[in-house]
Amino acid sequence: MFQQTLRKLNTSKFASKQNSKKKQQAGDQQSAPKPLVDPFLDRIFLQASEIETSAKKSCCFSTKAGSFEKSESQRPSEVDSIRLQEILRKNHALNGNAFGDKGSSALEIPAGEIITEQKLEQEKIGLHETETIKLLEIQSTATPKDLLLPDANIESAATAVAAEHVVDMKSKKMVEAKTQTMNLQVKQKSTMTTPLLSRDVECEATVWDLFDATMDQGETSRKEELNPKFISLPWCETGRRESQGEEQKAPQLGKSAMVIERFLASNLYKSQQAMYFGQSAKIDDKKRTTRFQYELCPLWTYHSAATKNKSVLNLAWNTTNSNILAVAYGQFLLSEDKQGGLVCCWSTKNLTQPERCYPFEHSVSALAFSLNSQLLVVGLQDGKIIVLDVSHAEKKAIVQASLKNGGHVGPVWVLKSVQWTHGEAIVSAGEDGQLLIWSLNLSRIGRFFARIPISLQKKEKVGAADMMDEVPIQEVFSILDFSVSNGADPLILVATKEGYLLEVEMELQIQRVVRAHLGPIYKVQVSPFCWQLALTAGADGKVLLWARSKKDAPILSLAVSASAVVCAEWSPSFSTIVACASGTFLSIWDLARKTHEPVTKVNIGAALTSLVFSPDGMNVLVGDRTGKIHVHSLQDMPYKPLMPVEALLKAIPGLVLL
Amino acid sequence: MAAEVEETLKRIQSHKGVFGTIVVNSEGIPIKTTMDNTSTVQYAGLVSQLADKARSVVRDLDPTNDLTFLRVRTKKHEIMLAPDKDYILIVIQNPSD
Repeated sequence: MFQQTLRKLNTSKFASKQNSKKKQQAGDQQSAPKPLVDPFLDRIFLQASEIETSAKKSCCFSTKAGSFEKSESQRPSEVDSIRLQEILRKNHALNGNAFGDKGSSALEIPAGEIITEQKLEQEKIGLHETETIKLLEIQSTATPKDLLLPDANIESAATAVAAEHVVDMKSKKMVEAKTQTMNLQVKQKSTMTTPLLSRDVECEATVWDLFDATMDQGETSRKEELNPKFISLPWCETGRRESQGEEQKAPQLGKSAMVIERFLASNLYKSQQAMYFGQSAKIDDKKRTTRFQYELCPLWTYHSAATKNKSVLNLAWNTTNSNILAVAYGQFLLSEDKQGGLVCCWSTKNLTQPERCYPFEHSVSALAFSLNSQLLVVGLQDGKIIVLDVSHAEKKAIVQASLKNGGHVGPVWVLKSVQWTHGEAIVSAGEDGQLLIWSLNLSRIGRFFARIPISLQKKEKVGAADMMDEVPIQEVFSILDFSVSNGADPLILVATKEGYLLEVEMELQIQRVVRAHLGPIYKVQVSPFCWQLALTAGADGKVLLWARSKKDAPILSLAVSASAVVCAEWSPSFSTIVACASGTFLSIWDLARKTHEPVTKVNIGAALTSLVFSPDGMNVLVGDRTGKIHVHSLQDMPYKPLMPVEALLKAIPGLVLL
Repeated sequence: MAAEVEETLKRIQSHKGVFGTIVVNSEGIPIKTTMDNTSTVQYAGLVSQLADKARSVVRDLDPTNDLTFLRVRTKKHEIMLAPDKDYILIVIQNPSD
């Protein structure tokens, strides 16, 4: 259509020449004598069609063309009518009756027709003036002096003013001045402000966020649930027992760091740990024989810088968590230089670093966990007994007993946690020959003296060579170990330094005295499967088995070695297996197999001091005098006897159960 | 930080096979590190995202549950992270070392 218009406009050039005469006659004062082809004009026209011009007929021009339109409206149109027509037509085609219904100009030229001069002269061209378009009107608020207005007030006011000032026109003092008042001109003023900083923040609420919000009240209780893994470990209850005064962040970080250390260690010792926990059974399919080798495989060693030069004196497992081992360090020989003692808590999960380390000024000679797994009872060489809380990394002594409260005079050799008449009791035995029974808060509830009348001593010579020239000097003997035999007829077996084994009733009265070993008896233990059977390990290198049925003599004697047997223990899972530590050798004896020699023996390399089985009985831990604890795993073992007591009866001839 | 925690971190760093320890705060900015800067920043950013994703998985399955540790075992090494609402502890170890 645009092209069409252009064509038409071009062809009507001739016509324009005709019109230009008219234009010149009329004194065309068009500011812009535009050429015929004026796309701009067309465009304007197109734009104007959008503007609401209902009252105007041929006001083809919008305000954009400025003064052009104004003049246009005031004077008769001198515009090129042909062009006008074309434009009109176009517009008509464009938007229907926007212009048409008001009666467009009389000249109607059908589309497509070429306009000739003849036609032009035939037709009459009429030009009309359009209505006046008021674009801007600002009313004047001033009244001209010489204007006669119908409004009387103004007139009178004006005349009054005029009269006032017409005093002396000739006087030059008067200056005529005009003012226009009340010029309410609005001025727009804008300033730029600093841009407002805005930031997009998103927030997502998930199901568990909502859950957290509702659970905020009981937050501490939730924390307990969230750490089910750590509930069994005594020290992972982060500071709930006492406020620590340090910020909450650090303990959390410390805890995580500790666990990560465990991961690191277990990464290095994965195969060993697997063997320890019994997860990798070395089953050699080819060699399925009925011979069991009872291998002792060395797994790892617990040692650290802090434990150097200290001897391992005692080992104790935690009563509820079978992964925690408490170790007492100190001086093995009383003649050694006093360097102070140490209690370390090792875990089977962290093999490189003890998780707890408590230093003491004296050598620690005995320790035991109470049935409440957080409390560790420690006995020192100076006779003190201290109850520690292992849930804290710092040494926090809960309660302490010393000589003043009726404690021991010499070193405390043995501590055990037993079930007493009303609840739990801690029994301690020491160099001074006292067996003291304490309650958990270390108030003494019982006392026993290992006092053997001299008369009794002379008589009892069984179980040892006749030492005729031995004159008994003392009456009270140091207690090195004791064991409680719980059965139908409960007894406490007390091992003394002189080699006497005492049978003590629960009311703490000596029932019988037996001369067990030539030297001190280092260990006495009742079999966990049969309460009538007990073993004793003495300095004469023998391990003796005692039965209730046979009063004065042992029923079996194991010749372990020439040097003293420092420690011996029944296996907690195999009824016939005994582990002995003597010199530098660790030996395992299976009573069902042979009793003249151990089934397996291993040389540790350092002088051994103590020994303990792991709670499942598949591993043996030995401590030596250099401060190391060697862990060995028992491999290639026979199956556990189905009926342990029967197995014992079969293994030990002469054992008769009462 | 408490001296004990510092000591533990030092021990972790000197453990056999460990070649990096990073502690990242809750905004993902590393506050303690033993590795070079670029690696630290890289690890901190990527691992934080992983920890968040893992935690969201755990908690979406059961809102009472929460993530305690995450161990990522790769061909060359193992990345262990302990995420918490205040920090993330990242340790990279080469266990076969």
